[in-house]
Amino acid sequence: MSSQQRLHALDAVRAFALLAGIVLHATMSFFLPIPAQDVSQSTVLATVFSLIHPWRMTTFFLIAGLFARLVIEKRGTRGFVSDRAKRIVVPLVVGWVILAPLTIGALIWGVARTADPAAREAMSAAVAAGTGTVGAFPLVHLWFLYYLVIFYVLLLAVRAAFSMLDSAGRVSGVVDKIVRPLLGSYVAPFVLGLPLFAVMGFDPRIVLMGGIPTPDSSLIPQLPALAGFGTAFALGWFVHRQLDLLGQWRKRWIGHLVIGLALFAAYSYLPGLKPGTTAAWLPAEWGTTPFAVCYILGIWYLSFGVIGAALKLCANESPARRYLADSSYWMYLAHLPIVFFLAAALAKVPLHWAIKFPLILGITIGVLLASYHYLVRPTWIGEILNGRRYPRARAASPQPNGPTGPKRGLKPRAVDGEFGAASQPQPSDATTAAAAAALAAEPPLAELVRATKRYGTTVALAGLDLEVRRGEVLAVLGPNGAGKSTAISLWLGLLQPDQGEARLMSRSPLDVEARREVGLMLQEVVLQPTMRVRELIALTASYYPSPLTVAQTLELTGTKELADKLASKLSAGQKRQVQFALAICGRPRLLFLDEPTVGLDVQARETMWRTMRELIAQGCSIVLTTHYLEEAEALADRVAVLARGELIALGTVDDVRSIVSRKKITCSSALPVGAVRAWPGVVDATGDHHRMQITTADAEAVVRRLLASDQNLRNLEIKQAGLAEAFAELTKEAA
Amino acid sequence: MNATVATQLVFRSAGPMPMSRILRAYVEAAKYEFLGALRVPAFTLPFLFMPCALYLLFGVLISGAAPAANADSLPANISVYMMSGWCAMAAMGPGIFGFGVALAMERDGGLLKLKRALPLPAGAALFAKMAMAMLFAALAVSSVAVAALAAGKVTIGFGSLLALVGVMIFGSLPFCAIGLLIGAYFSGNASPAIANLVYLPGMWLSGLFFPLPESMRPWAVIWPVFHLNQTALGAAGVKEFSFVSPLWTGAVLVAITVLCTGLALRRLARVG
Repeated sequence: MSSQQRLHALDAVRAFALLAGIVLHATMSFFLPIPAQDVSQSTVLATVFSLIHPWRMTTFFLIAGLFARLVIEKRGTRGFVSDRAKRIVVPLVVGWVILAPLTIGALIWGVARTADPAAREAMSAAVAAGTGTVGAFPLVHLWFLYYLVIFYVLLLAVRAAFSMLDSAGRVSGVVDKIVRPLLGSYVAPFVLGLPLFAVMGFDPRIVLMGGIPTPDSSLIPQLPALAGFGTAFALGWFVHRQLDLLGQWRKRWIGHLVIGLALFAAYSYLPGLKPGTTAAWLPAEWGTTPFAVCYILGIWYLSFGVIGAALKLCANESPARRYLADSSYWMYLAHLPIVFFLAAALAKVPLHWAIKFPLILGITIGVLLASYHYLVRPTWIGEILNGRRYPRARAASPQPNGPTGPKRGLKPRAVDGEFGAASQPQPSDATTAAAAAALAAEPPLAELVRATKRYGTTVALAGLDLEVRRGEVLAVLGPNGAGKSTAISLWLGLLQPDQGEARLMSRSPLDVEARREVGLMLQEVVLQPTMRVRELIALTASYYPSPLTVAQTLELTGTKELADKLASKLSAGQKRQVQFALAICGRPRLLFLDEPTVGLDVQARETMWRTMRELIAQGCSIVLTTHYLEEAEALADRVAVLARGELIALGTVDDVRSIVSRKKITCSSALPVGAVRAWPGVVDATGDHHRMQITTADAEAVVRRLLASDQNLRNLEIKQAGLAEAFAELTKEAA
Repeated sequence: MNATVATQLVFRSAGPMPMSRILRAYVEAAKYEFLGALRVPAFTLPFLFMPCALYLLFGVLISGAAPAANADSLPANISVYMMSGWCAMAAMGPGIFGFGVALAMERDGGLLKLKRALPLPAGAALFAKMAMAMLFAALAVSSVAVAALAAGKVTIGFGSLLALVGVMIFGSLPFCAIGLLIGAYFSGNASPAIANLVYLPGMWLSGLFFPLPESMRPWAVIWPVFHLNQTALGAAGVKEFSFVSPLWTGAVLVAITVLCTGLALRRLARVG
């Protein structure tokens, strides 16, 4: 997966963690006396709470660590500090001034209305005890910003220290070497959980408070939160040093979730998951430590599972998800007073929680989304929170229409910082001009970007860069095993690149929308044997939005006589023709033809070529793999020559021909190399008088002149140059 | 080549696929899957006609010829139990073989690869096979039920008969899932043998056609078709032959479907 896809997925999971927090806070009044004690208590919602609670902040801090390194790498320390000051410190300070009084007000109102006197007494005693301690301060839910700031400061300090003491980066290298195998297995949580276990493993608060005690009531950094979330933040930092490690989470997401849920079941059972306050949360026969072990491991397995699931399922750009991800920071910041107020207001209403809970959630999210859309997204608040402002008229203004239609004209936005795009350029004259230029140079229909594919130890493609432009015929030539079919398989999504990226119609080839514009003819001859040709065409055409009719297809490909034959009764050549008909019946913009004319007689081949020319004239682009240089010559605009998975030549047929016909002359001569280089027909000359090497397209003329100019010339040798060897191989195989 | 046809063609982006065409793609895929299956006698004979033929032989001719003296000693509704057994057999076959063997062969031949590269709507290929198998099962089960009605062997109400037939038709789904799993894991050569390993012993060892000896009874539960038969008999209210609550056996069928489908899709996503 590309780095852009990874960032989309991580952005999605960060948003998911924040939005899960809203759900979490909405469940509280149904099993805790905070912010109010609802008349309808719910074990289900208590379960929902304890399922979300362990992973959401750990996941958040992990991704925060990862994005922190991303921003530092991109913008330097100074840029990082100013960016974080704007987007974390300002919301913390301003947000607190506005949100804390509202939240605390709703809380006091709710508790006073609903809690029984004993519980109220206990709470005010706790508050009184709390206010007496040094550093007591109601951070409310904005504590996460406070701890982010702490981690940023620690990070910068540690980084400065290491850049002085360990400028070679030896320590980081060692950590990298430890992190890699750790994340490549299922045991990482046992190591990552150690710091938190050291702090909380024997502390009954982990049971009483159901996890890491929320550090929301003091400015003095709390050890459990520092240990738990700090580990996550640091891990995120080190994962960003080796971003391919994300693949390990992607691969194991189901395993991680299953183990996490099993641990969840264990630690929920240990204290006996029940709605209610203190007593029910106490473990019966089980002690603190078993609970702590299960819970801390659960934190990590669930976090890894959630991140892995996002990497697996949310890699593609989705406008809806993008919007939600953008809105999530605002929604999380502003949600708590609304949730608390609604919970307190509804607490005494005699309705079942199954009605009240969705109601609270629905109203909260509705209010937050509306406020985001109208008050935040198009204003300076959005610019502070997400690093960019979306002009309100934007939705109505016409999008630049790419060849793939208005929807696809939207360029995927770069996600380059926490809470959205930190450095997205503002629309300006310069960028508008650049956009116009980008439109003029249309996106390729299909492209491979540094695509590498291995089968075991065999390298089928080694970092191939190749694109198919609109309206062209690209012939991919090469001997067997050169990587031609692998390249096509990557473009069609049949294989995934080990490294690099394959794109089709500016999308992932796995996206069915992209493949709807593509017709294909694979090398293997496969047709459903029980179907007639006419039916095969009708069925294949039904997969496309506006296909040719069966009659048109039959006519265009000269397969009318075969229409009512069963596929199992066709000859090999006829099957090839029918496959060609299936490739074009969807009226594709791009055709992939893998060795289309192998096994055809001369006449059938001529017919197929003629049809291809017809399609090209109608605006269809073609990628053609072939053994035959003549086939490329007959059809192609550009030729790409592959050998052993590498692109060894790319250009027009004439370009490639002239490269093929080059020769290499070696000799010992007194002639000056510089003079020889200037001779007509000489492409290059190197070496000295002991051994001169001349590359030429016209060996005979150059040799004649060499012999004429230097009577003492010795050791003359003429060889085919580079590409010709590849072609010798080609022609040998084709023969 | 006809120039007038060719000039009408414009190869350009057609925009998004309308929902009606997506639905049509599912229908077409299912239609041709069914037609294709009908054209293979090796599939239609054993799975479409055999259950009814065998039922007529064993359930009507042979049991009808049994001495009438025994009739009183037999439990009530034994003729329904006979019919139900052959219905279960009819429901089981198309799923296991239509999915298992056919899918394995498609994988071997590269047809599945082609289908993955084509823009089939998500799941259209599997939906087509499932619809085909269910339709085959519906035809085969109904033919047994009609034969039983015609022979006067149905001793339960019409509503109960409908419930039994309905459960049987939907009961073909877990066998589709088992077939899918077989097709996903085994080659075209191995899959018929594996499919028969599930099909034949399941038929004999789950007491579909005759009551099992006492010692073998507890082991009937390992065969999925036992659960199908029990669910159908329970749903039809045939108490004499309903040994396990149909809720339990129904849950087992659902679990089999989910488990096999999940494992198979996981495998197919990896190896294609």
